[in-house]
Amino acid sequence: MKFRPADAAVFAAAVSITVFCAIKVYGGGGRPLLRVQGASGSWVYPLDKPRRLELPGPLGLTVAEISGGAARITASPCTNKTCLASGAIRARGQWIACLPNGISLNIDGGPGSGDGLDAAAW
Amino acid sequence: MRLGLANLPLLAALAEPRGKPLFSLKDYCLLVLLKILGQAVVTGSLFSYVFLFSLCGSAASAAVMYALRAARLTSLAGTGLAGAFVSNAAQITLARFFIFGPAAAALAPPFLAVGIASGTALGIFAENFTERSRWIKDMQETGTERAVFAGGEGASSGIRGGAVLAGTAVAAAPFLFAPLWVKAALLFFFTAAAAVSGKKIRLAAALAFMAGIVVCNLFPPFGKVLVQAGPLTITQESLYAGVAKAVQFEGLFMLSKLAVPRLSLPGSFGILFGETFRILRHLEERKSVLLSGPKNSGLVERLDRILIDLDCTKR
Repeated sequence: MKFRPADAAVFAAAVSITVFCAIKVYGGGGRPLLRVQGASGSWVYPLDKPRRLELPGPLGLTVAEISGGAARITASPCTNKTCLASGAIRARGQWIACLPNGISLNIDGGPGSGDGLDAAAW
Repeated sequence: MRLGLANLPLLAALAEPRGKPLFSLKDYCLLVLLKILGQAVVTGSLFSYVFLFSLCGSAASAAVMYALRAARLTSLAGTGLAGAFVSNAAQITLARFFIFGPAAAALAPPFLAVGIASGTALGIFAENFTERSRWIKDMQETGTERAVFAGGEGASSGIRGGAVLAGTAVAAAPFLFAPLWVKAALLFFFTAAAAVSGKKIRLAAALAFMAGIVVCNLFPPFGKVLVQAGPLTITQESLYAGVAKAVQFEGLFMLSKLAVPRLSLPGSFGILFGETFRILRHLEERKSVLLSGPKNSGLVERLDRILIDLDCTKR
């Protein structure tokens, strides 16, 4: 049988796309997940879908929100509100805790906050 | 994961032995339609997601294969490769949205790689077959209509068309809107009814496929954690979503198996459709000849002999 020049191009394109797919899917540290620990159990959510979480604790409901690839606590029944002041977390290893209400949030998977440069100088 | 053997007739139809196309665009489109509908009836998947996958995969690959051949860019090897690749890519994309969720991406690389290998092998076989086949040579001399679509017994058992379609649509609706327990009850009912009506039910395969759908839907996990074992997290919501999708998929498949009788269609297309099944029966009866024929003949010669024999029984 006679092959034509474009056969090689089709083969190269198909193999390249497959290899690219494999690197994209199997490489890297996976998608970042928000892990939530509370008094009544633990929950896990991907960070790429916005959602509002109502987390029960001994003082009442702590409200957390996922949006724009980050998670933050937006309302808490605790008195000092340190958890609200912690701001948003988005990278592996970051966490927020509301100790009075027994709620903690941490990011698992994905790139870590310490994966980039510590500092740059000129 | 399928090898795409059903693409062989399409590839053969795109051959140009003696520099002359074997099929016109109209005949080629007709063949694509027969392939899609024929597969759906043989597997009983006409009213299920499988049919949607087959329709999109076959249509996309048929269009790409035709375009490549019309532009005279590739041999049948490259054409088969491109067809299998596009078909698999289309089906993975649909599976992402309808069945497996984001975890479908994990299936893509091996699925695409198998498509590259099987598509190339099938294309090389089709090229060899169309170059050496006496049956193809005869077809070019006598015209495709006489050799392939000689007509025949055609439509025999009626389908009660509209009534069956409407009834199936009504029966399928709960799979889209009802709570999980209703879907599960319907799956059980349709499976039992299909078995009682004599349909072949591959229970182990169905359970394995459902388990696959459930497992795929566990990733990425979301919701309340039920089990945490090392890197594996099983959550309530993702488990529920997986079970619901598996029950829906298999329920529609069983309903389809039950509802699709020996489909017969009116008109000249109906005759072609009936002829397709006559050819399929003929090939099935002679499967042993194809797989373990005389030692001095290759696969091309054995397939050629079966097709010539088929033509002789017709005339």
